[in-house]
Amino acid sequence: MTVSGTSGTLFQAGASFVHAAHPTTKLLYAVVTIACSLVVTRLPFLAALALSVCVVLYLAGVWRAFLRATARYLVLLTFFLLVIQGLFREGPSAVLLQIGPASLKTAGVLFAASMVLRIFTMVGAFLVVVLTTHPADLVQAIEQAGASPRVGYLLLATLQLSPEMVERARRIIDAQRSRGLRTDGSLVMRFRGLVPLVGPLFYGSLMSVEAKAMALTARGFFTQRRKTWVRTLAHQPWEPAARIALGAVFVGVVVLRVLGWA
Amino acid sequence: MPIEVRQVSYAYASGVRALADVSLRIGDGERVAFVGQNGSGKTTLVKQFNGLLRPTSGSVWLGGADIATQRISDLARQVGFAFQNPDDQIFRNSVESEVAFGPFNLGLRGASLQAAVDEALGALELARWRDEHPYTLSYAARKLVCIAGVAAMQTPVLVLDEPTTGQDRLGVERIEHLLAARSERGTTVLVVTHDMAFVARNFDRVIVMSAAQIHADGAPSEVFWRDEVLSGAGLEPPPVVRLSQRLGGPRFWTVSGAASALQPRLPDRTSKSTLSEEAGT
Amino acid sequence: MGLTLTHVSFTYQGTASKAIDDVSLDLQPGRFYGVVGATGAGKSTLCHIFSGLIPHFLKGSLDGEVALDGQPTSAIPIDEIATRVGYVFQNPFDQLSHITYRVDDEVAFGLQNFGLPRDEIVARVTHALEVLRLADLRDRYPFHLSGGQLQRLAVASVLAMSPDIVVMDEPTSQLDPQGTREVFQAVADLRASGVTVVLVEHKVDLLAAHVDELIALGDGRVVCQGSPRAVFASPVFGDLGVNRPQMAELALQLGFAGEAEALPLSPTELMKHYGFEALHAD
Repeated sequence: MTVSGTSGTLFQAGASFVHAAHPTTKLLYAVVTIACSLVVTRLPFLAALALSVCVVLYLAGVWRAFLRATARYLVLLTFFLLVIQGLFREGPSAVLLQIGPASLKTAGVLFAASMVLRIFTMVGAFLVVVLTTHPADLVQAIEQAGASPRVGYLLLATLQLSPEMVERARRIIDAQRSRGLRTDGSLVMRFRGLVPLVGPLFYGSLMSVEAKAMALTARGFFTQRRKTWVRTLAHQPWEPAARIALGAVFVGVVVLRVLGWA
Repeated sequence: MPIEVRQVSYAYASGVRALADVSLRIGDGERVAFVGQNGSGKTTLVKQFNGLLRPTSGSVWLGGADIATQRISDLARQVGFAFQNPDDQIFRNSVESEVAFGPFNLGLRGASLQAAVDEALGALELARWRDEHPYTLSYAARKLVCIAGVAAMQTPVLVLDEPTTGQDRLGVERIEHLLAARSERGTTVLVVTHDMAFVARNFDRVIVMSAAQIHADGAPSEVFWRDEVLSGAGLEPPPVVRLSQRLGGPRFWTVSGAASALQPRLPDRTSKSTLSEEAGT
Repeated sequence: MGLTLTHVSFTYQGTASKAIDDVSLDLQPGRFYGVVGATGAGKSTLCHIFSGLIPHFLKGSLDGEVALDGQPTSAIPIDEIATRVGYVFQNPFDQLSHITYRVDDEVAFGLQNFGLPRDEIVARVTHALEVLRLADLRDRYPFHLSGGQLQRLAVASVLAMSPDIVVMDEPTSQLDPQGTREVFQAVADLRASGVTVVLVEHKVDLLAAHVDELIALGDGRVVCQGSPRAVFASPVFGDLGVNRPQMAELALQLGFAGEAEALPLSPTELMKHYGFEALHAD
């Protein structure tokens, strides 16, 4: 029983050293990288962080998958942040570009750039874990590290992109449109149209929560006994060093920030 | 409101062909049952009638008009469609307001809205639960609420997808009463179902679908006797049909039909004496 | 041994009336029991009592005694009961874990939770997949299976726990004829492996053809119990709001008044009973 199924996951099978690493090491990587992006304030450092994430994604062979999953949203986000911060950010600032009555201000653009780099770093670091780790391995690692099975379950159930959920959403839309619900028209009408679509989803989950909890109980999910793990998760020889390095990087970044250099 | 399907083909985005050059005419006020395995195309076909799915090629005509350019929300005035799973549509916090959602969307207000809701609740004997939260009711009752919600739209065409699943005898009888009442008013009643006994009791026309095409279309007295078509579609006729096939003579396809056909053929001796003899041996 | 209910009543918390009212039953090992009744007659509640979900999970007041192999179920931890009484839900989407990505991992899910040795898990999973004819699909993603296959997977995941009793609550209600046949075949396979089966089902024609014993519920009580023929012939059965198999119904409409055990359940039996001649020799 080896995990090979990738349907319903974002997981991309691969043979890179990132794939081979133990999930906890990857989680540590993501946590350290995200923490660094929050600690650092200067643009060159933020850019370097973002670049490092790109390198890891590339080495893991999931760069394309990452772009497929995020590019559209990242481009949109960048555009909106640039426009809103660049045009409307309060306070005195040099003007970078004058287009008719609108003036794009330097301070705003710089702020937008740092926000974009931060978000990119966070999303990228998170996706390094998600794209290179099978969800089942991720949860097994978390549980073996001592977390409650409930935490693992919640995480895994959230990560599973079950086709049934998509199917169900489609059925709800069909059912309500058949009852004359208009999903086009003015913004107000569309907003009103959301209630009949979200309502059944909400009640449906409430209804199935009890049945699911019963099923999990009957299948021994909440038992206090020690679980058997059919699959074993291996640590690579280089991982202890990598973990120490990650810790050192974080400490280093904090020190630089305190000194005001980062 | 006649429905005409002209050489309709339909392929899902995945490339799966669900309808292959299907043509069909359903006259005003007909009662038609669509039967077939899951994936045979029967639900895909009825979803063309209210524009939920649009033909990849071919056209669908409703009351003499091509529906290609009509919005689903407008087609909802012509074709009421009750889905299989009530939990895919119930969202209001009382049975009454849930049933009112459809007719309200069609523009009914005030007394006429109330009348439509009352009529539907009455037809399915749900009136005593009108103030209940739908999710406090059983699955079977929620399903009736869902059917009432579509019936209250009082459309000239009524489509029900698997109405009898999970229903006990009383529930099935309520649905049958509703269908009979609507038929009497000239409503075209269409159903998609696996329940062959229900089909036999209530429908004059049975359409057998398999592998994206119509394989038989006719009265139960004809379609249920086409063994090769039924088994090819993975279907079994009701046991009374099996009996009728083996006995020959005038065909029957419902239990009550069988009882009146067989009554005259009963042996002189009553079944009781036959039995006591059997028991004695 | 087996599962016995002695004067059992149950009222759900927050409701006034008894969902199950003074029920006494004795489920014998290796037999196949069918349960029928109208909506609200107490079928699901009875299943929950059999499986220990009442009183361990669903709250309310339980009177009388429910004993599993002589021991009250209230005194056995629920996860212990779960290894002896398997429960198959109406909707496989509720039953499946939603956290596995392969058919065999799904079957292994419960076994892992119970901490069985690794080799034992692998052996049991293989066996359960074979019994339910899912071996060829073992590496498939569960949510890509058909309805019938998904329900068989639910049964396999229960069978892998090697329970003595399997309780199934309307497992075919969401399935088409093909899926229904698959599940009935699965139940036959379960029985062949010596498991006691309790099946709640609306499809009485199928039920009549398979079960050893039928339990008919009305308003939370056992109204009649016995062989399918005896139950369908019972005069009180008619008031339950449950259909009879078509041939039984037809015989009664034709004035059947004999011994219950002669009640015809198939066309062949009906023809023989009334001496009707077949048109063609079979």
